[in-house]
Amino acid sequence: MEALLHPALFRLVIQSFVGRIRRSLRLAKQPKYLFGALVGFAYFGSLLINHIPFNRGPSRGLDAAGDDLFFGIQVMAAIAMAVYLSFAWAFLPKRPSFSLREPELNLLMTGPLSRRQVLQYVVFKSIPGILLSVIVLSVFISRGSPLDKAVQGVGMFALFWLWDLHSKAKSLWRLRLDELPPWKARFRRSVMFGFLALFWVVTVLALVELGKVAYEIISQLEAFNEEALGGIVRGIRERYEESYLRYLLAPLVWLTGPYFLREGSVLSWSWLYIFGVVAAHYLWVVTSKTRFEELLLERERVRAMSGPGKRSARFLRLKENHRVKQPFKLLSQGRREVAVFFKHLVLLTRRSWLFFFLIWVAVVLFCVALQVVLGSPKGLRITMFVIGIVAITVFPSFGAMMWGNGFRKDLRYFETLRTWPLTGRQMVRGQIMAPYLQTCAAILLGIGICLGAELGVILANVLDRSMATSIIPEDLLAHAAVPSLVVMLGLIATVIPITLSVAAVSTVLEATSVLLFPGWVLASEKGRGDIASMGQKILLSVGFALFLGLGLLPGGLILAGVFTWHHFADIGFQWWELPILSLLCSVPLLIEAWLMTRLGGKLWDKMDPSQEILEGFS
Amino acid sequence: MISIQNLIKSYGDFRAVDDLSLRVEPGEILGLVGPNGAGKTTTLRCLSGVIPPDSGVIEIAGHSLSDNPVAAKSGLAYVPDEPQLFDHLTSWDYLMVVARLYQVPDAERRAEELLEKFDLTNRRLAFPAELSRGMKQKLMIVAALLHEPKAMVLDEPLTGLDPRAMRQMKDTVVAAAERGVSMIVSSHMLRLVEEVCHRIAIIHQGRVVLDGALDTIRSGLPELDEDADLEEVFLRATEDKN
Repeated sequence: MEALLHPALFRLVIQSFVGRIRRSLRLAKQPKYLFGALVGFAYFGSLLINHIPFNRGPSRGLDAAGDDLFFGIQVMAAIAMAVYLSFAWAFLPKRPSFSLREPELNLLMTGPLSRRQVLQYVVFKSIPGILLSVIVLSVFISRGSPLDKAVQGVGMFALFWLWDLHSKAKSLWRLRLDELPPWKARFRRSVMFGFLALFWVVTVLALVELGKVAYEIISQLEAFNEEALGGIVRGIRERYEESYLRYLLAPLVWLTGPYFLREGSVLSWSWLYIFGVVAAHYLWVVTSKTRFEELLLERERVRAMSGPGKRSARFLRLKENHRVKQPFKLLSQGRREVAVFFKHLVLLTRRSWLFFFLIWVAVVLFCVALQVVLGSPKGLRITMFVIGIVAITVFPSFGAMMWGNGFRKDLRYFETLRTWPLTGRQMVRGQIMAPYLQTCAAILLGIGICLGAELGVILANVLDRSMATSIIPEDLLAHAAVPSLVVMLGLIATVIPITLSVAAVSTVLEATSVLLFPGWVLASEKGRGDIASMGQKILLSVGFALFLGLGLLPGGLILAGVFTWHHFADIGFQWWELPILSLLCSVPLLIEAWLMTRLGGKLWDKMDPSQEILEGFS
Repeated sequence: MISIQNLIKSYGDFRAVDDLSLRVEPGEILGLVGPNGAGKTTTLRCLSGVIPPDSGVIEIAGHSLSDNPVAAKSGLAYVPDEPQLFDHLTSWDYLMVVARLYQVPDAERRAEELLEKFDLTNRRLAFPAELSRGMKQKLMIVAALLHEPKAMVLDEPLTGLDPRAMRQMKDTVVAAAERGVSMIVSSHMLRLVEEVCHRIAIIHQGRVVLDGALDTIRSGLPELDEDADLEEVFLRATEDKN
């Protein structure tokens, strides 16, 4: 009897899931983990409480739109699914879409189990995760009565499981091609691509027809209102139901059936269809003849050798001539922390400084050229300005949290780092230099885009008298009474000190938070998805934002002080004061960054992460 | 010289290292052996500065690890049992980073010599994922020797090595000691310890239960034969405590 999972493997699946939950509970014995878990639950709870009132009846938006629109959305979902599946099948990666860890491989490959039983384990292993996702999502997106929700939950589970089975089946199908004789593999591939091509030719033709119908209806409209919209949708639906597209998309439309049940129509015959498709996929996977074992073993070997990081594959693709490149020549003499800086910089790039300077120049020139060629349209000016401003404002505050290097990433090398002959301060400096540099580069890119946009405006005006207006606010230009380029340079001189100081504070703060809560950061880096970890992530983010706000306060106070003084002394504010003010506000921020570096150094020196860190990676 | 005096380290209520003292003179190789959970790894982690001890004094090459950690660590090379290399650094990058950290003069020439000696020259541009476990272990040894340390700590140095590499490793350990390096070798491979170590310390439940040359510690256990090997000594020294 091999139709279902072997009892011992079933037990293994359940025990693995229970083990994860137990581990989370054990961690909660430590106060900070418990606190994190409570915050996580509170976060989830508040979301649920806020959400439940909206779930007490059918979806208002969909019901108001009427049956036809409801049906239209279902068809659109089916088309979206067809697009996704077509791409997924056209670009099948040559790797299994599932993995087994080394202990699982050792147990399953050497145990008295048939291939079918191993594949059944692969299939059933995903189920606890799917179930958990369905339970959470059901609460959020299902609607109607509790019975409706339950039915939709089952439908969602069937659909998710089908998705999972389908991804496994198609990856096994792809791998099987490599095992077949070439002519047979070519034939199968041709059939698959032929089917896709035929499907899309026919579908596109039918969609064009529907488009024509829609156009005809719209062109006869006198006014566009709710009634007109209903008419368009009804017309399209009637045409759809007459066309062969209805039959072409039916298999996919039926799959989404459980999501689009109307109130009072809990049971639908599409259930039978869905369960039939799930059963067929199940058999497809578990009866596969593909030899996936070696690939999984190889993948596990590479993973074990390169550690938990998934990025190693990126480095392995580097050719030898790129591997010898370095962002700068690391001499063996000089400040020791530069070695840590170098290490983090190589993680980002092996290109030289000159390369990035040239990129910056190219961006500026591109912005100028685009403005000139297109005659500096307002939309383009605003777009460039917004992109530049976003870079200038977002990266200084949150850049350090976005980058993939720094202390956060180095925690798993903790045992090596601690043996290095560096003081705590040197270590912190080394750790923050690369992310800080990245943030600075992002800020300079934002400045470059704004500068390029302004230069483009000026050049466009000179060349073809476009009469385009500057990206600098008109009031400021009028007040300054100097050419806009001079004001732009003044603004750049203002932006640079303050943004670089804010970036310094946020980068050091990020490093300090890692040193204060290494266990939380580690859990987050390991991708642990339990609720305690989520709570810890929230706490870290909120704490970071709060302390960053506090950290920026001294600069803000200086700014407020200067403005107040100008106001009460009745002194007019001159635009050239901005760079000076920026420098003035930067001073306390830089002092803060320096003090926090010292604090971080002390934390590093005194840190005893015996259990949280070292056992976390063992 | 490596000196550990009255080292104590606890994890919660569990005392992993309990008032442990050891001293390794320049040119001496100390074999550190003990059953699983005896406190070897904790001792080595404290010694290399990975975790701070609860109390006790650790000195490396005359520098206190707590008072002058940079000087102490500059003279030490620690080779852990699991080679920890950075995913994104080639062998050569890694050696250059180590050279900068330890301020190694003429680092490139020295790195090339060591890579040659350990048959890693053709792997200098390889990433860790492209190295076998034995190669990684050898690279860690190369990095450890790069700055000519005054003290070396090796945790299970032969794990994953083929017979040729094992021989090379043993020769390296002996040669380093001959140059005056104080060495601690922790291993469960008692034949290795017996073969290369001048002195052996058996630790059990966080304490040193026997310390001295093999003959000396054997004579401390009169119930053993005169020709009893380290394995018998080890079993006898630790069985009474269980």
